[in-house]
Order: sequence, then structure tokens, then C-alpha cells
Amino acid sequence: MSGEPLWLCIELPALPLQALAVPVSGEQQPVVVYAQHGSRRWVVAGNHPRIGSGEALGSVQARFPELRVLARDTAAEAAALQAVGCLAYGLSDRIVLVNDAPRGLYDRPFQAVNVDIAPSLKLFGGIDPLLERARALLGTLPYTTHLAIAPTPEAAAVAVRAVLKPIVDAGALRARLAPLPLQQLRWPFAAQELLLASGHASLGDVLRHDRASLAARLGRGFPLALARLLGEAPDPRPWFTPPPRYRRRLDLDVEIEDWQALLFPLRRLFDEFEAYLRARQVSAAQLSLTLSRRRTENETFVLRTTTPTQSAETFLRLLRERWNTRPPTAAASELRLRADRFIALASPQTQLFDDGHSEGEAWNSLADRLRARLGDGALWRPGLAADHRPERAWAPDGDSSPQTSLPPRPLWLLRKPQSWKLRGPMATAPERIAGGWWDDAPVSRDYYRAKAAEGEAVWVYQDREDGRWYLQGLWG
Amino acid sequence: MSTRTLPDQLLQRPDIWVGSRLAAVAAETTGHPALDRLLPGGGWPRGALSEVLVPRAGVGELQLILPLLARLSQAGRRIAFVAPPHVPYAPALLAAGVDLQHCWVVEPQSETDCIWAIEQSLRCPGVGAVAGWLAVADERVQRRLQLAAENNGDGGGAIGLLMRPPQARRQPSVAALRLAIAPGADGPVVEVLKARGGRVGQSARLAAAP
Repeated sequence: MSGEPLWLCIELPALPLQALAVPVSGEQQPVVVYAQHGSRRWVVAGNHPRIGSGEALGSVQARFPELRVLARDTAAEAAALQAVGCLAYGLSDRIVLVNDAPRGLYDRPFQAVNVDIAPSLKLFGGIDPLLERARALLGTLPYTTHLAIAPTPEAAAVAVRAVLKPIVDAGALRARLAPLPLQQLRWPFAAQELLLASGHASLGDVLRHDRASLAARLGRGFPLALARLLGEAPDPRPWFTPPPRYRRRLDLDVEIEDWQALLFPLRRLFDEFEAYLRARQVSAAQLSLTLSRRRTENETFVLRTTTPTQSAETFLRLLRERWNTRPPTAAASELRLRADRFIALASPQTQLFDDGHSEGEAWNSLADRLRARLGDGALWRPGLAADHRPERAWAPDGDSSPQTSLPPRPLWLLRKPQSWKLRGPMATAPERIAGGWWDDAPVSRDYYRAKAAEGEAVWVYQDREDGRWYLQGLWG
Repeated sequence: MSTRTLPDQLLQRPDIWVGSRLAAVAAETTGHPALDRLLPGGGWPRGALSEVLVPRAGVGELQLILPLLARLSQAGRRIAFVAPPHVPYAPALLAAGVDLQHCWVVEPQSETDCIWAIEQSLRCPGVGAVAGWLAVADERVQRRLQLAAENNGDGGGAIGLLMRPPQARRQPSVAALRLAIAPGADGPVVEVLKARGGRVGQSARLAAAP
């Protein structure tokens, strides 16, 4: 394999529509997304086979009276493009995002992710297995994609628009592109019009001229663009890297009240999040989801896992568990996902005969589900704390090994001592416990082990301040 | 009469059941020798539900179950208290031999959540025993929990310990073992109300608390 790059272009032809979380087909009502310049509006993507992009919005509306019309949301498109960029990390780490605006009136944008697959071609075992892998990866996100392969990024973009078979050999590039009509090349409208008007129909017609005369007529930049297209000049572009923090917003087209229905758009967001984690080779232990309504009423859900994970399914399961018992209080029209802290992926390799490992994982997953449904404070380990006062000698999730040995203690501790009616003298000597003069809850008590009505042992104390008796523990 | 003295033809007959064979219950010792002698298999049935009727907290129910919990936790199995009436006091648990690393408390807010938490914990591989305090548990709930204990995913099955109020005595129970505990001056008394594959009606006195 030579050091020459080979580009896979992943075009997202329906991105303006799909970035808005509108289904592309299967919906009865036709939906279009339009671009606008001045008073002109034209369609850039639609979900109906008889609506072409580039049509004036008015004429489409005349044909489809029930048409739903949405304006382009370029921020949503950029976010979706990034998500596909993250997914493309599964193929190679040399990725360029292409987000070309319409060149003029009635043109549509060109949005694609370019991946340099030359370094990973050997890994996947050739073009066909790589394309298969790419399709499988892209299938995890709900975007329509077209794929093409060529030795330069621009040629790959042309090839995807012209639906060409993969062009692997740089030497064959010129011959393969020459018959293509000029319209496929996305040159500036002015240059395209000039060339068409002067009798050039295909790229081959243009290539017959020498570069100097092309520069004289079409501008200095034109020969350079041509050289980049054909791989004669380098075409440096900024590499895409996933941002250090994760922010994703999805505007819902309607307000959704039923949380079950929210899970559909959420699944997509979580899948994108998983692609992001995989691209960065990190995992996350915390993810916060905000549902908002008209940008004002916000409700935030923080999902935590005991062990950091890369799996979207884990977060989704936690969310479902929580909403089962505590559903969102209001309808949502916007979803926002954010994660700030990530943990470098630990190697999944463990000892060969490590049985406790999978049990530990099973328990961690159970702990996550319990916390998600019952609340964070509902699961804890009884532990010790370094304090003489009995109510402070334990702590949720405290130490689990003893620092000092204590006299016998009851198995049950009452959360709040109850007043106790003394029934005669104590048989044993008291254990005096005093402490806490350094903080706000000083105690001075004499503890006894007493017998309750039916002979069961209880732990009582006399407060040395006021002389009253209290029940604090049961021998259980 | 021992089975050895029965004629072979009689033993081969499928319609004759031999009591001593039925008693082959997989069990974990309770840690109370007097009680073990009364129980089929000599302890808490594994992969099954056991009920303990407790008149009120503190009569000796923790003393009854702690030897089991201590041994399981020391063996690295997780144990869980679900909806306990008071705080299981860490210094005393430690003194009883419980490995606090593997001891968990779950505090659900409602009965439904409580049943769910017991069921989920029983199903989790690596969990040895779950002690749950449950006031209401009809037959359907009990069957669910019984099934969860059987399908622990560990092969052996988990031990489910349900702490129930004494009113539950009148309800039918699907639990493999049903005990009642009562306080006593010389130590709590445990009565066997139901034992699958064993005899009922006997009682044993546990040693008084240390």
C-alpha cells in the first residue's frame, strides 16, 4: 500500500430533513425543508418521491396542499454531521467534514463526511469489506447515506453525486471523471454557466484547454481547484476531531408528552453519544439529559453508572427505569444531552479465570438500576465512622474495617432515640459515652442493656444532662 | 424402619415415595445447631424463599439470620437488606462476622418498589441472600420472588428471607420454609410452621444475645 490517501465520501443527501427528527418515508403527510434567500424559498430536502430538491416552495405547495413546511436549521445539521463524523471513526481517524452551503438560488447544500481509508484498508481486508462495515456502522444512525470512493476528497464528492463505482487507482481518475457533465462538479455558478454557454458539456471538454487560458477566463483559483480534483495538487483540509465536551440538542418538531414516545428520538441521541464515546475511546459514568419546553421550562435528569460505560443501551435502560416510577412532569419540545467528564477506556482484558469479575459487573448493573428507580440515596453499604457517639459511629458507605474494638452493640439502631420508661434498677454497670464537645451535638450518656416487656434485649441510655431515659437500639 | 429393610420390588415402584429421599433439600446451615436439626437439609433452603413471621422488630430476627449472612459475605457473596425497619448497625454487623464490603441496604419508598428490589437482587448473580421486610405479599408476589431466587444465575440459587408480620400466618404461603420467631427471656424461640420435605410444629431456642 502506498502512502497515497484514498477517500471515502459519505454523503448525507437528506440531512436538512433528517437533522430535524422528521421521518423520511412512511409518513403520509409530505414534509419539506426549505432554504431561503431574500424572498425566494426553495426546497432542499423532502420526504416525497415527487418532490425534487431545488423546486420553488410555492410550486410544491400548489401541488401538495397538505404540505408541511420547515425552515432549514443549520445548527442541527452541523450537529448531526458531527455525529456521523464520530461514527466514521470506526473506519479511520482521518476525517474531514464537508458542509457546503447552496451556491446560489435553487441550489441544495452538499453535506458529507470524507474519510481517508487508505491506512485502514488492509485492516478491513479491501474495499468491499470496508464498504460493508461502513454501511453497518451508518445503519446505527437514522441518516440516509450515499457512498463513493476516489483518490482525492473532491473527486470522491463528485463520484458520490454521479454514483460512480469506487475509483481506487489514481491513474484512472482522469479517465473516469472526464465524461461527467459539468453540473456534477459543483463549480461556482458563474464558471459553470460560462463553460456551458461556450459549448463545454463535460469535464473532458474543459480539460482539453491549457490551464493558463482557463485561469485567464475563469479566475486564478480555477486551475488550482481542477488540480486538486485530479490529485495533481495537495488539498489540505482541517481534520475533524470530536469536541472535548459533549453537547447535543435536538429540537422536536412537536411537543411530546408521553415519555414512551420520547424514547424514540432519545434512542438516536444516545446512539450518537455512543458513537462519540467510541470515537474518543473514552467511557462516561454520568450523562445529563434536559427536557425543555419552549426553551423556558427545564427538567434535568442525571444518569449515573457505577462503572463508566460506552453503551448507549445502559443509559437508556437507566432512564427507562427512572421514568417508570418518576416520569417527566411536563411535555418536551427540545432535548439536550450533555456530558463533561470522560474516563479513558480501561483495557477489557482481565484474568483468564476471573469469575468474580462478571458477578461484580452484574452487581454494578443492578446497583445502577436500583439507584435509577429508587433514587441515589436508596442504596448504601453500612459502614463505620470514627466517632464515639453511637449515632455517628456508623455511616452509609463508611469504612468497612474496624479501627477500634467496641463493647457489644445492638444490631438495630433507631434512627431517632425514643423516650423510654424505666422499669426498675439496671442489673449491669453502665457504659459511659461522652463526646462531641467539639461540634454542635455534644453527648454525655450512660448506656445500659435492659430487658423489654417480653424479655428481648434493648439498648437504652440515661442522658446525664437532663436525667431522662431513651431507647436507642434493639438487640435484634 | 430404614429403607434398607424394604424389599427391592417395593422401592422400584414409582407410586411409592420414600420420605427420607424427599428430604434431600439443598440447604445452608442456619448457624444455630438446635434449629438446623429441625430443618430439612439442615438449614435455609437454597434457591428458595423462606418466611419468618416477626411480631415486631428486635425480637431476635437478626440473630436468626445473621450467621447465614456473615458466612455468605465472608465467602464473597453479596447480601442485601431490603426495607429494614431500623438501621442495621454497622459495628454490630461487623462483630457478628459480616464482611461489610459485601453488605448492602436498599430503602425503597413503596411496597411495589420493595418487591421489585427484592426480586431484582435475588436474580443478580453473585448475590447470596436477600432479607426483605415486606408487609403485604400475596401468592402471586411470592411466586415471583420464589422464581427469582431459583433463577439466580449462579446455578445454586439465592436464599430469599422474607420478614413478615404475624398476621401473614393466616395467608397461604408458597415459601419452602416458614418460621415464626418470638422473644424469650433466655433467648428467642423459633417455631417451624412449614417446611417443604420436613416436619412442622417443633420449635428451638436460639442462644441469648451476647
